[in-house]
Amino acid sequence: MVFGSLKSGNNFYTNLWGPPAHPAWHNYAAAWSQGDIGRYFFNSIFVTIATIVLVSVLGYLLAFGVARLRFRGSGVVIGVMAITLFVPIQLLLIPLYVLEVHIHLVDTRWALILPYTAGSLPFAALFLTAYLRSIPDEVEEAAMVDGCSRLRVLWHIILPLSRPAFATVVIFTFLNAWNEFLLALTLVQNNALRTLPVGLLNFSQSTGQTNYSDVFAALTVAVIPIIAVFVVFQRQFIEGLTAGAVNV
Amino acid sequence: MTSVTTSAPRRFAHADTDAQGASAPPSLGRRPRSRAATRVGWLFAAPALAVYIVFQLVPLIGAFILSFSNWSGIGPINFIGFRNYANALHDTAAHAALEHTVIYAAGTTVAKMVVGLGLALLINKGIRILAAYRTVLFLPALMSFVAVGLLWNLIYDPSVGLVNHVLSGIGIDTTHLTWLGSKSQALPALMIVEVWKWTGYHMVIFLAGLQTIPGVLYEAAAIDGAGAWTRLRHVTIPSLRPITTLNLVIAVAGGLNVFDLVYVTTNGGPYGSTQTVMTYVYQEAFSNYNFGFAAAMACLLFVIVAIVTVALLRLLRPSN
Repeated sequence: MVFGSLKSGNNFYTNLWGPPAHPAWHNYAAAWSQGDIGRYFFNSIFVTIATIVLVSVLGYLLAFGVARLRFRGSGVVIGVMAITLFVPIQLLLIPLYVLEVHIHLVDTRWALILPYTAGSLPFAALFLTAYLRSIPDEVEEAAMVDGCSRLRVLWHIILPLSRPAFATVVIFTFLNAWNEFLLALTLVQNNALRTLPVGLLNFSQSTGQTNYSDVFAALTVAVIPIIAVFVVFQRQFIEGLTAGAVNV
Repeated sequence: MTSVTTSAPRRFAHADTDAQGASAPPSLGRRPRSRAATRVGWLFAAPALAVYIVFQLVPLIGAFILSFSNWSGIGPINFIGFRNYANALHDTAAHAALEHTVIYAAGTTVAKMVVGLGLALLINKGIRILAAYRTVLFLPALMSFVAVGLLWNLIYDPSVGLVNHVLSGIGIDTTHLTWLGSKSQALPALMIVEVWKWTGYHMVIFLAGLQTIPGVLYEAAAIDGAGAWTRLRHVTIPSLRPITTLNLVIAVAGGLNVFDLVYVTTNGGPYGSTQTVMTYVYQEAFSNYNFGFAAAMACLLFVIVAIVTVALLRLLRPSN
């Protein structure tokens, strides 16, 4: 029962605990404008979409090279990526910070996009490679006999066949990038570029422990997109996460 | 849900064997291709490798190198051998942090496995209400730990929080229940949040595993007169071994690497009672600027996680 009530939404709490004189919508407006939640929201969307695009494109190109072209040394590439699959982001935090200070990447959106991309690439590469390997060679050979160039095979033949695998990769990358906190806290100090998790924390700390309804309004704003995406793509989400977890 | 069982990479497996015919083993045609293909292949892999090497491999090696220095963030890097590691092994604060982390990881892993499997079994039995709740149960897994932490900060609030509100509603004296403000209650309270967040995720993976167990096994067991408990012990649990291993590895690694939740709620307090290895690492690095010492502790934790993971994989290997 605790489970059910807690997840039935933050709206519930806004109504339960908020002062009766203030209607909930007022709090949302306050959170959005005063708390800069709108700006954090935009930053999170920007960083997340850029990461998803980079991981999908780079991961697919690499997987195509490994699985379809089977270039010499591809085994080593995949092996190293498999070893670093479970490297926690915390271990990389300090050197990443030092590195990004040196190449003047700190306090830009790329400060997060590039490490997020690098962090999600091993999973994407392994998963897409496994998937592309399962497509029979004959599909590709037939296309090439018909005069298809390698790039056209990549784009018109193999890519459409890989759509289910992309769903998994996109979902994993989306969750990682949207919710990531530690790097976002450390590598971006400029408030204008902060993402939602760090922004939320700032907002709740500046609002203090007194104004619960505003914090709940901000929380709701942060959680609703994920819930909305989840409700729409529920089947792909659960299948994608399960496929990802079971096959890598 | 049935299509979950036909997981992605296996989807083309039948086509593969069909096309190759019964005579040709599927490994044929898996040799590296021509030199030209190799050149194009590396070209395709290059952009991904560049990002991966600069932002993943270089920092990984960097962490290892830094752990042998006494660098404070500025000035030259002096190498001091294994002194950071020796200090970490004798540091009482590090011991306390490791102890909290191990309690946290062990306790939450057991709870996630038991509750996750229990819920999966109930849903698999076709209990309607729970099936409808599957979505709801899964949602916390999608929330960031920051949102979760802020939410539970309010739920655990001693005066207006939901927990004490409900407890006093059913006549329990809540004057001593300050939860995150209490030295003895804070760590268990955080463990409950961790379990709440991830149980739905483990449940979904267990559920996918349960649906791959052939019904024939249960029918055979039933004919042999096996009761519900015997079927669970001798059919369900052994069949779920690979899935359980996977769930265990994810849960243990997640528990040992705990950071976000603690940072957002108690930040290690009160009186260090919820200090974990990663919050201690963060504090040493970014409050005290002991980068070398912090890197050494992060490396030690990574080694611990790796050892535990490999041990779990060995122990639960199917051949046993």
